[in-house]
Amino acid sequence: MTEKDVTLDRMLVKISHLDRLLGLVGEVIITSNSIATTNRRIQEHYDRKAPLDKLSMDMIKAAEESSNRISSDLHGLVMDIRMVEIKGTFQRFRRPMRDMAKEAGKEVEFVTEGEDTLVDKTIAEKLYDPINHQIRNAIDHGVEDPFERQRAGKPAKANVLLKAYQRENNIYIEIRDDGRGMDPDAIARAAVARGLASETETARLSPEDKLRFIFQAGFSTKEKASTLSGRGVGMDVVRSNIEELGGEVVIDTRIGQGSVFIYKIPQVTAVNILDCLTVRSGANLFAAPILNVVSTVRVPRAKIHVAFGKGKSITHLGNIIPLHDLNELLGESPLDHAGDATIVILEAKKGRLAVEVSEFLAPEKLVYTPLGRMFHVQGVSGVTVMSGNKMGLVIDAAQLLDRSRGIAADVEEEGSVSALVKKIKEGGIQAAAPPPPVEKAPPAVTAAPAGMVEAESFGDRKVLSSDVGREIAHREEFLMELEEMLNAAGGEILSLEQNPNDRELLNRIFRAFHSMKGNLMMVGLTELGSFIHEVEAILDRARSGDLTVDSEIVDILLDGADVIGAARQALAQGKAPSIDTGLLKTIEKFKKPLEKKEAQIVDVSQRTFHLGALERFNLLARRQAGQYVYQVFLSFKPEYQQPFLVALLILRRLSDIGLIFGSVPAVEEIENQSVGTQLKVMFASQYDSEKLKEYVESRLVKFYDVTDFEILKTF
Amino acid sequence: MVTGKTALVVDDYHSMRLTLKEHLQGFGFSVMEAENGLQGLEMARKDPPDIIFTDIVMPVMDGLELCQELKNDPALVGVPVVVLSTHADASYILKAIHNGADDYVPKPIEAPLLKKVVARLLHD
Repeated sequence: MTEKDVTLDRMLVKISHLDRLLGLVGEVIITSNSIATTNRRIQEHYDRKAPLDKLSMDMIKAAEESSNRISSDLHGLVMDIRMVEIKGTFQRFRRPMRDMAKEAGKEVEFVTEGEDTLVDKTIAEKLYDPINHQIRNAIDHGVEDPFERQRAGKPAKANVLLKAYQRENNIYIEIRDDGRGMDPDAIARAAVARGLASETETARLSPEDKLRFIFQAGFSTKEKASTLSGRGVGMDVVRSNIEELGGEVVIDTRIGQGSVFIYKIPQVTAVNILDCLTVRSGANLFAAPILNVVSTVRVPRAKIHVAFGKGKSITHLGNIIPLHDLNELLGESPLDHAGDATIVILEAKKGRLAVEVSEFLAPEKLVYTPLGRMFHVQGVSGVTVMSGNKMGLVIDAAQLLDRSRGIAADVEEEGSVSALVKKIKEGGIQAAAPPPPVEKAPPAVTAAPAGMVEAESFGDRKVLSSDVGREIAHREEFLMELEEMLNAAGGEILSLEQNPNDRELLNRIFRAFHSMKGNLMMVGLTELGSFIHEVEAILDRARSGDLTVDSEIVDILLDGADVIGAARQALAQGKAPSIDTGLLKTIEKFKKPLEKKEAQIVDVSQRTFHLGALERFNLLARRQAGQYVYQVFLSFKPEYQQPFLVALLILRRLSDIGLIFGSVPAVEEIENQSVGTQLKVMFASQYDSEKLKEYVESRLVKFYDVTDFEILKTF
Repeated sequence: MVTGKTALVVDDYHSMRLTLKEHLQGFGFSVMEAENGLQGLEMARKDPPDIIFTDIVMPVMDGLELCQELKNDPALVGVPVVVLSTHADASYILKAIHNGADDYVPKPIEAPLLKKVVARLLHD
């Protein structure tokens, strides 16, 4: 595909629109389901009285089938539209990688593969944290310093590979390093030392199982906390992050040769349309995924078994199933147990569980938002919007089962249902639309904290109060494009460090900064725009070979990108963007000393026309042809544009109706900006004085800022 | 003031095109959009607009090349071309003018200037 085709092939779409579309598709599916149900009822009805003819039956069936197919195709298409290239996520690591390696005194080459792999946008966002942890670990723990590597007979420069690919319905992410690898026995010993297992227990374990100790909370083989990766915190978080996406983490490692971590993530988990049974339990609404619902039953109180006055159970199809009050199980006040019990039987991998609720509502197709790590309630996996625009909690059957068995969740903080509902009502958690991505500031720059808006300056940072609160036209588009540009620029800048003499690369970076400047200025963020202009000036000098690209220049460019990134983030949060004044000082060093070029303004009244031989010849020829020769004096006062531009345009308009022999200032002088607010032009035209006057008034006075004029007919 | 006239907006950034488009639609233009010079040229050839607005720095074909191409095309030479850019220094303005631009509007766009330039070039 040519570059042109690529640009024509894409457009920006708001995620919120897509999610609404997804919601509507859900509605279509529900409608199509209800058509199917209605059809069946009609059929049954007619079957009993007068059987329906075959043709009608076939038509109903065909309509039902095609509406099913169309709605499922629609669903698939919307999911496809949400796909983004993993590139954006991968590129975000290039900068931190470089900084971390530098800080750790290691030489690391960062390679990415499969950047064009498509993943759901939400997955792409959720992968950031775990990959970030892993890369930090790879640099801090995995990769040896150059000296150690050379001693081991390896190249001094280590390799960290970040790779993505898709197989069937799974996305695979590999984080591979060629460092020292992990020793299963050392890990097992550390696990014993930390009381995670006993020596006899670990002795029986396979090397693979020993490795899995690193996923346990609080595990670390490195005694010293490092600034890079802390005290081994992370792998447990990595695992839970990936599991949240429905995925798993596989480790492969060879001592002395390196390690690879592979995430396997099912492609369709991020935003999902979930078939649910909705129920009311006291004041709360819940949605139980149909896949987990074995049955719904009404059981007379007398038929509920009570063992030792405590545990309750019911018999369902010959199986004894423990029964719990859903509210009580979730730590809320128990229901009013009167009349027959309304019971949902749930099934998870580890077993079955019956929960009593107040009322069955309806089966619904729901767009649900996983709770993720925003808030944790054991037994609740997400939030959703039910019919009637009511907020509901999505039941996690597996967690609920654990909870009923007294198995605590492996989380630091456990919330309650009522706290969660309160938070949703306060708008702290949004249902139906995926949660907004957690913005990650580049490490070198911190975003302007809230409250800085009022402050004029804060330490070494200048807050651009004039840019605050500006209404940005097409804000989301603008921010999205800015982010794209930033990501692209960030990657190119790092490539520039490797290839400082690549002119085309330099041009691309220049273009990126230039465009960012343009866009920021366009939306009225002129101060930020002029800041980027400073960075752009450096690039311009480098382009013209005036400056050598070294790591200091690369740092300036990266810092510049960071400032824009932080500003983008601030804008996204409705805060004031700020500028690193320290960076401005650094840039100042590299700026060309300003050439003092004071243009001399030509005094129009003191100068006559300089006509060359050709002009004089032309003048005679025109006069002989019956044209008039004029001298026109013009005063003009441009309001928005530079005088030289307006002067040039005035000359153009006069040459539209005649031939110019000369002007004061001359064209070259005008182009050198030696023009004030006056202009004298000698030219020949067919227009008589009256017509010329009219022309000057209707064109030059009206449109070209001419405030005063005088026409002299010379012959 | 320009009801029924068409304007072609050439800029590689959607948000920038949108902003300009809003201005122009406010004046009464119907607006066509292109993402780079080449696409703009092809659109102009297929369906000549009454006026063209172009950015300078764009991939594939930049605004200056576009100016040249337009002014070298007998069918399009009469269509006024306005270059818009954040480059405020004289050398860029001159480059645009020398390449055939009929006017130059600095970004950020000032609505009154845009209006004035449109009036200039479309004589009303």
